[in-house]
Amino acid sequence: MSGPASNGVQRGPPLQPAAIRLDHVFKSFDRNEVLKDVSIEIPHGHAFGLLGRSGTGKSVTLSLMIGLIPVDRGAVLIEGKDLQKLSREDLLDARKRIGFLFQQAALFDSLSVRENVEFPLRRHTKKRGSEIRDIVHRSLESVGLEHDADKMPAALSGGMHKRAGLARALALDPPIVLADEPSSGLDAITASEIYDLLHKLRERGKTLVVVTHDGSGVRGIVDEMAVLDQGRIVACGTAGELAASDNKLVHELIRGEER
Amino acid sequence: MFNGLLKLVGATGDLGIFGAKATRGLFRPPFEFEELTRQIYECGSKSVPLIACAGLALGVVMAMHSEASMSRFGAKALVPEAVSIGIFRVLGPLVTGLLVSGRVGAGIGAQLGGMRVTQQIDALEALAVDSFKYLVVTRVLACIVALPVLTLVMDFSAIAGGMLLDMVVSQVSPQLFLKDAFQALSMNDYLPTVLKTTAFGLIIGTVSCFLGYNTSGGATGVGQASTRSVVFCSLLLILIDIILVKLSFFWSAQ
Ligand SMILES: Nc1ncnc2c1ncn2[C@@H]1O[C@H](COP(=O)(O)OP(=O)(O)OP(=O)(O)O)[C@@H](O)[C@H]1O
Ligand SMILES: [Mg+2]
Repeated sequence: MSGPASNGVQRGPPLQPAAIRLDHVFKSFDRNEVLKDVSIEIPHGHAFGLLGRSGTGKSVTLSLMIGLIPVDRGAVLIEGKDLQKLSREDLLDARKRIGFLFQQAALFDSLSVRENVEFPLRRHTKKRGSEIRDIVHRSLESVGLEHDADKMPAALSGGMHKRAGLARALALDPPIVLADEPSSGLDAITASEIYDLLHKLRERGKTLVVVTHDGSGVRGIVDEMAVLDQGRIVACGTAGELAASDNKLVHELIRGEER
Repeated sequence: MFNGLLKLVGATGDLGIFGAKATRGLFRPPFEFEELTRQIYECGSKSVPLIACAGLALGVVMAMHSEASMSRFGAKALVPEAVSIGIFRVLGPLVTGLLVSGRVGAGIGAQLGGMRVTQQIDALEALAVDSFKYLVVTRVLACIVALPVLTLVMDFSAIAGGMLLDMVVSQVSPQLFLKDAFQALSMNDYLPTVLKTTAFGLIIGTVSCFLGYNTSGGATGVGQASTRSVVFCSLLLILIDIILVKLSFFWSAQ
């Protein structure tokens, strides 16, 4: 695995903006201050793990990165573009370059699994029917759902929801992938298959953000991780650096299920 | 009390802005034809059986009542006229509006509410789809298109109902009934009705989409959105009906 490549000499213009940048972001809901001065920078082609305990604002951070909710203060820049300053059309265009896996998958319950995965392809590409069928089949195969394509979401298990959601997020082959707990609700074997899939994406040069509370699972696939606690990034670095941290919370999150 | 009033004013303002945005969306590309067709089918075509049955029953009841009262004056020949004018001018639009509020308003409120609380609306946004255009504008337009047509369905089935009753009870020939019924109507009975029902469609679509699209609070919130859609749509329809009738009297007095 390559180390941090933030010098960015290999491809693109020399001073390529980071794929994702959070600049002193604050976010609160009513009185509940969720994020307090969070700054993250993820270069192109990097895989980034965001860890933290339940309810610390990981999902909120991910929603901010795609402009689903606005920041209170600070800025979110995707490929150098400030999401707050984009027009509605430009924001939608920016989102076409991002695949987003929701924590609860958020499949369209009036559409079958196949139609869910087809949906972005039909809307945003001019591909022909047969081509779309191929892509859908391949992406469902990659998450192990090729035999469940015609099921409705209501007939799926929690883990199947997650995998179908991932297939939909990857349908457009976006350069940036944001995944909220991709392995939660999955058995160890399926989880490691999903991690393999994410790892392949990373090797194909995608920028990846994986939110999780299971540090041991993502350790192998991310270049860098950060730990979110009480609205702040309390630690940031490579898996090795964080594992050596003397912060108890960081240590426990990275190590996973050691008690 | 004061707070409640303030909230109501705020909500009315929000509804107005929402309605304006939806109306503006009707004229701005991109148009979501596929979703629009589906919604016209869902809101319009699927309501036809309900509206037709209700219309038939309404026609029968109206004919029965007018039979009873007219026969006292020996004016049974006026029954077709009474049914057609009563239905076209007064009852048709309002009853259709109220029935559609019940069927479609509740449905839209619950569906959009469900999509909101299960993050499906967020998912649309994340997939680079303008959820407002896709969900709201199409539904509002579907209601606007569907209501005039449904009202005509209601009107004609009511006349059919009246005709059936007259046939059975007074052995009036269908031809005679229809001739009398439609002779009583002028163009002035069709055009204002269509305009009025268009407004009804706009109201039903806007109110139910507004409540559904802005749902919060899980399954309870979804139930609330659905119930409130029916309540607010019905009340607003009646209110608007009163205003429009008043206006039309004013207009024809000129
Ligand atoms: N739409 C919202 N409205 C109000 N509060 C919210 C909203 N979304 C999130 N919050 C609050 O933000 C905080 C962080 O929520 P978030 O979903 O980001 O947690 P998380 O880190 O993803 O937790 P988990 O690991 O359990 O998914 C919580 O306290 C939650 O109550
Ligand atoms: Mg979460």
